[in-house]
Amino acid sequence: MKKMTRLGFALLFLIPATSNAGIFSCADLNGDSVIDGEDLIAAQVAWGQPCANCVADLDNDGEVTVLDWLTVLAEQGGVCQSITQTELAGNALATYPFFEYVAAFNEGSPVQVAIDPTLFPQVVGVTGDIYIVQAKTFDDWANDVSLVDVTGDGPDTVVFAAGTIAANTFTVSGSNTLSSAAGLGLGHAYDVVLDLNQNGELDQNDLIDGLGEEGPVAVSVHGMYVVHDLTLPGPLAVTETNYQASAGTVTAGFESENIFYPTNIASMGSLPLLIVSHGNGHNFAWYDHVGNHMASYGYVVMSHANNTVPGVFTASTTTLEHTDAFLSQLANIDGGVLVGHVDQTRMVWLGHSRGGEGVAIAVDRIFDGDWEPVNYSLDDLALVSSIAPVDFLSEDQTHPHHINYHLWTGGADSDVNGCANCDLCQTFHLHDRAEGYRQSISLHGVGHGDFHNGGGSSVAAGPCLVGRADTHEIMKGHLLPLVKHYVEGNVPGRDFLWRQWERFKPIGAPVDPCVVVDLMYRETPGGGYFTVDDYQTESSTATSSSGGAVTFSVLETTEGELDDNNADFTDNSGDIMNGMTLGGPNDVTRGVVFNFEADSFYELDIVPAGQDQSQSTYLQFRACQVTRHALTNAALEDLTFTVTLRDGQNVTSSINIGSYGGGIEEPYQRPGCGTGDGWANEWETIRIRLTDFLNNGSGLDLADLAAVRFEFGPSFGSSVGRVGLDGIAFSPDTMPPLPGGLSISLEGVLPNLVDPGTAPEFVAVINGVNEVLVPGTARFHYRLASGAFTSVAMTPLGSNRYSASLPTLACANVPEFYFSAEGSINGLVTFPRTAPNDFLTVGIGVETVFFTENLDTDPGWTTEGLWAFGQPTGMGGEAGDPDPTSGFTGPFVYGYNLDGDYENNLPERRLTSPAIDITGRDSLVLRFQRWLSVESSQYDHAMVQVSNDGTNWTTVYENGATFSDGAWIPIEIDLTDVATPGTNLFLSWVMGVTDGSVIHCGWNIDDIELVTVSCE
Amino acid sequence: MKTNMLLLSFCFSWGYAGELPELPVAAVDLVSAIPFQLEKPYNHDWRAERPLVSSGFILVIAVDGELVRPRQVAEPVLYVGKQTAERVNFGHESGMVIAFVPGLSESELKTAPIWFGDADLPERITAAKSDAQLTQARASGIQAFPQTRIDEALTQGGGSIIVKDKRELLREAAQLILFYSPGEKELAARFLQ
Repeated sequence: MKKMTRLGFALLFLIPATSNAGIFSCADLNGDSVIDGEDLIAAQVAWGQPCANCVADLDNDGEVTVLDWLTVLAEQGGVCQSITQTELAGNALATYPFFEYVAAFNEGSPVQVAIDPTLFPQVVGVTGDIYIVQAKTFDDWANDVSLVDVTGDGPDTVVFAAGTIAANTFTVSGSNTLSSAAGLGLGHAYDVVLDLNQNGELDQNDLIDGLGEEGPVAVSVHGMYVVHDLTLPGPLAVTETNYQASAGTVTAGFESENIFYPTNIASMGSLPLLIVSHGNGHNFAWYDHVGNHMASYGYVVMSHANNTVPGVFTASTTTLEHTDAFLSQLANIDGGVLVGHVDQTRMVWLGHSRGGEGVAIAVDRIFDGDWEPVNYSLDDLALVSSIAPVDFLSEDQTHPHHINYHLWTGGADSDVNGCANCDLCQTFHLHDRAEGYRQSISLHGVGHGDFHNGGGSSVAAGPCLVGRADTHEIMKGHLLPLVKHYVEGNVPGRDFLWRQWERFKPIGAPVDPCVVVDLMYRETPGGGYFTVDDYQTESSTATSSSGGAVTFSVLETTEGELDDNNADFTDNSGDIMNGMTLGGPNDVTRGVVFNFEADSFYELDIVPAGQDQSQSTYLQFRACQVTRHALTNAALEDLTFTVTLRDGQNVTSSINIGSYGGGIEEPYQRPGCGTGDGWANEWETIRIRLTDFLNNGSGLDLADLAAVRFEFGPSFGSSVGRVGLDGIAFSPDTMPPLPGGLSISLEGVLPNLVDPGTAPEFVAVINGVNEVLVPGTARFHYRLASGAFTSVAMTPLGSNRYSASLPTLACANVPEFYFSAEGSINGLVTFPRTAPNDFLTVGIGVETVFFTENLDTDPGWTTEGLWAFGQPTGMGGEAGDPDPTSGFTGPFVYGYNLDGDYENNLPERRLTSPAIDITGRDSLVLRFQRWLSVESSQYDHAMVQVSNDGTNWTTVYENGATFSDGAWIPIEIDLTDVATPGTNLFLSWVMGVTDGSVIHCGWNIDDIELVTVSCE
Repeated sequence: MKTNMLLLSFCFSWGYAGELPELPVAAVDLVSAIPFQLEKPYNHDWRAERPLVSSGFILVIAVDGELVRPRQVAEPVLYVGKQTAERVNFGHESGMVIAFVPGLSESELKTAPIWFGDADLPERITAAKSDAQLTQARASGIQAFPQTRIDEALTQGGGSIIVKDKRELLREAAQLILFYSPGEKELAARFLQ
């Protein structure tokens, strides 16, 4: 889903899936602005062809017929109606570019509309009406083009003049009274229309900010949104309750949960879930400010007791356990009121301090396969947010991977203090490791304890402390749009994540001058995202990571890892990266630092691959002031500078970042961590709309950009400074993938082995909750040896099933393959998810069963204890299921106690096969049918062991958690690596040791086979 | 609207965790010692190997509260001999810590120093680390409490207990928390549920 932020998109064609789009139809099929014989020929050529979205299908019935041809004939000699979609709503600026187009307005703020006559010359001299109307979907507009102004003052009649955008900026009368009512949502949507023919309809030559885009899943993007005070509670009454997770489902002693949900949840659908994991010494009941706030907006919030004292890994275990336990035990909570009303496909994890690292470790554990959730998957996590997290386990385990990630940092934190002498105290490490959408909020004067509501100390040190009450207002106002943006795709919420706090913040945010907020924001680098320089590669200061030349006159220019290389923040010429804490000892996040003391520049050439940015939306980068440096201290204030774009014809356009309000904040002036004042360098993201560089007829060609130039010094902003710079990129305006998106799974079980000379077929199931498959994009990728994958289209089978086959396989092949498809909203998805780095594989060969024991008669194996051959009686099951009543085939089995359960306090009791000759068997697989019920290996044991001599045993299987088969289960164990070929093999099933209580039916086995694989 | 409220106002205060005293430092006193046995072992999360625990001691230890004031960064690790102790409560206001010490026998209790070693995460303590910490503690002069003190603690403990599992062990600890660190009664209430 994209907002149309390009400069004026003229709608000439019918966008599909509408039934009455005559207002948008256009018979100019070849796009040459006239309707003539060439268009008639084009209609004739397309006649009779089935088409989806084709331009000749003027009546949108899915095919080109004589009716469409006749429409072209009737309109010959005419011109198409043209409605221009462009940005209109925003705020005037005092300096160039003189206007910023924005999506979100706080309730009570006036809305200004601006149009640049140099870019839209058609408006010059025109008297037109400005309408702010209720937002409509594309279909709605197609069906009803009438304009109904909702400001209360009627449309504003204005005259558009030649000259500048400033001369064509208008404050819309009554716009400060626009309603922000959005129910549980965030932002009341409006569209803005310049009705140039003043006929009260959206039609020929009008301009619109809005109109939206309609896809297969109806998601519309509108012109502007008026937002209420996000710090205020939402419209729903909230119920708070407490619950103890069932014993054994979470770590003993940590069963407690504090839960918030809308009181009338029974009448609501399935709600997103936010889980809170507290920090060390904290209490799960200390986050009621989060619970009440989010529940009042339609979320279920569960804050759980967190096992943080042993460490952060155990904390991650309680996060993982409680998420599963909560989802599986809804029936036990408040009479089951939550059953059917918790959407596990839309979840957020919020962790504080050790819990903040714990949630990132939890992501990593699932990602690495160390933990397999039962009731959810990583794809169900819309966002992970860490409040002042520690970083004990570093990048190997504390890693958000591709999950959308958010970070809170308190500059006055005296526990996770961020000082250079404590790597594990530096919160930003987690942010910079995140590979997906990532953002952070840094708060001067906020201490560690300010984030929770447990009372007591703020755990803060430094000047101008903010305190808990104000911190909570900031939290509520920031958490709400953050979560709604990632969970629900809320558009205006995003404005709160990156726009300069000085210019735009929640209405109820404290205005205390001590409240200083820095925001970082980065979308996932992907399609349409061009990185000019991220400093991750190409260590030369003369070359960018994109390969372009870098020239500069700024001083002491150094690229390097953004990691302070000593133990304090004292200004030190030997510590080039003083104050940098984005990376730890094993992280690789890099950037550049330099000084300026006079007019200076830092310029990056744009390589050919990146020169056409006409389809991008923003130029963005992040920057910081370097702490305690003399040039920073020379003027402790926002630092500003000018950004210039130059095109291939040497046309330039320049914008001072201060034009948008504020600049790069000075570091929080906190003493300690060495000599001087100033805490860790705080980075801010600056995003400049590319079309801003075109204002007032700059003449810049965004399709032919040659360079990005940063200009510093008194002529361009602040007079002096030492600056860190990173992440210079052109970005599209994308929304994060919504949870519940397209997923691919393999139908059936992936075979371990296929026969040589065959071409095995695989079927993938592709479906989604919030999006659908883009037709024709299901593909199968394979290779038979290392190297590039071959990609082929998959064949649709119906019911979301698609098939593809490997080519005929030979013994020498090593087939590796994966699936991909494109979703209507989120784009490309693969299975396995991390393909092509990870992929599926099958072996090639033929199985030979060289040993089989079907237990139809007593084979006379060696037994101990209650091991016996015979027919089980279906008894036992004091815990778990009882024994079977017969074998898998035939009546007989080998079982431990054919008449019931195993005993308490049992030593190891064996069932042992005779020696089996495995001479010449290079590969070896054991198969058998299993009916087993056993308590957790913490208490009782059931094992399978093998030996080459009948004395020294190797365990090849051992029970884990308590389980009960309750049915015959086929088991396969690869013995290739443990059995020595060319010798005998003994098989043994072991019951015991067991503890003193809780007994199960134990082992039952049947149909034992040994299999070898060969390929000829 | 609140329903089924189990939590009342929480009297526990989490103050600012300042600089740590120099480590290692001995515990102040051993107040009570209760040997326990478990029917169902549990994994001891307070060391890297996560050994199964089927017996040990519940100890009530008097400490310098600043050593156990919660902090997010590394905290001093409580050892009894070579074993890491699981601190069941915080104890920074009362100065009294109730701890589970897995695998500890009475004879070991009589010879094992009880002390705080280097700040770390207990879940990262390996056998090698704990050995090194014990060596360091002994070298700094930390010794086991006198025999008489051990005997008094055992008497105060009232003899051995056999419990079914970790949850029952926590209930036993909850009673001790209510007695020795009553400011943490909410924590005790959680374990008694």
